[in-house]
Amino acid sequence: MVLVVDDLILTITVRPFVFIFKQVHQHALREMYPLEKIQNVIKENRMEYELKEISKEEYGKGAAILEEKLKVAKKVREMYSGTDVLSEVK
Amino acid sequence: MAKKNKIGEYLYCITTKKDAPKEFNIKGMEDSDIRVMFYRDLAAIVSKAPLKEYEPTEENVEKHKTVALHILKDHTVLPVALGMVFKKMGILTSTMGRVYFVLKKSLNLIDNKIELGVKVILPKNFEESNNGKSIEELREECKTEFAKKLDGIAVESKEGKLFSDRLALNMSFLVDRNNIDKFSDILGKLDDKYNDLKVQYTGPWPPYNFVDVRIMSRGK
Repeated sequence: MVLVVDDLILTITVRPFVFIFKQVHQHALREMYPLEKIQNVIKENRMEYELKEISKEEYGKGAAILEEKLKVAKKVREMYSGTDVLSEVK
Repeated sequence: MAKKNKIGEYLYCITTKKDAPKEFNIKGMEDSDIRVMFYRDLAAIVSKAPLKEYEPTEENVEKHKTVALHILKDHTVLPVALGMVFKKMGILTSTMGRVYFVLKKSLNLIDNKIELGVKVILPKNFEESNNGKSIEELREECKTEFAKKLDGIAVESKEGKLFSDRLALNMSFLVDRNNIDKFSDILGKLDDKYNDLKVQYTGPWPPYNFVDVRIMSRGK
């Protein structure tokens, strides 16, 4: 009987926290690795080059850095997108 | 030892059998030779390429785009999304058989038409226009003015994402080849009117924003 009560308490108390933690975790990932934002900057960099506001060299340098950033962001987001936070907490 | 990717058939675009070039003097993905694969009255433009995921990098986009542009110079092109690579030619043939009527319908819709892109860009550190309009007011005005004037010439138009704070307008237009000059004239007048903004006019492109071909195959 005591065990049942213990389980119940654990379920009630931990679950909301796990849910919040999951949300915070996903939010932090989006903030730290903002795929869309990086993609937008890549397009903006290209636009500035096409408008001749930056040189080919500046454009190339920027593009290489941004493509690398995008690759890392995609990898990290992919790695954590299926993570079961509940099992990590346990 | 590094794992080597298997080789498949990379698809660039689709056109009609009569419009397919006899030979290509350009190279495809990973420097491969471009070939034409016929299915009934359609032609798939392909090349041998590794079976892998193709990221939309500058180099990949350029290679993919160049092949379609090569045909677009004189003929109608049904664009295909970047990164479609089939395990075997047989899979591509059977897939084309399954979607044959959809491809035919799409080709008819875009027959003799090309895509033109128009962006209106604010100068760097722009706060307000010569006549005291805010960025939001300018965005609204451009949208109405450009769409009203250019929609009359275009067959269809689509609004693109404003991916930069400097963008006041980002639109794509599907235009009949016979109306390109008319379209350019009107755009020239709009460019004069908004001379404190930068009007960027690009194309002709295959109509990427008006037909979206993503052929999926189980064997892929």
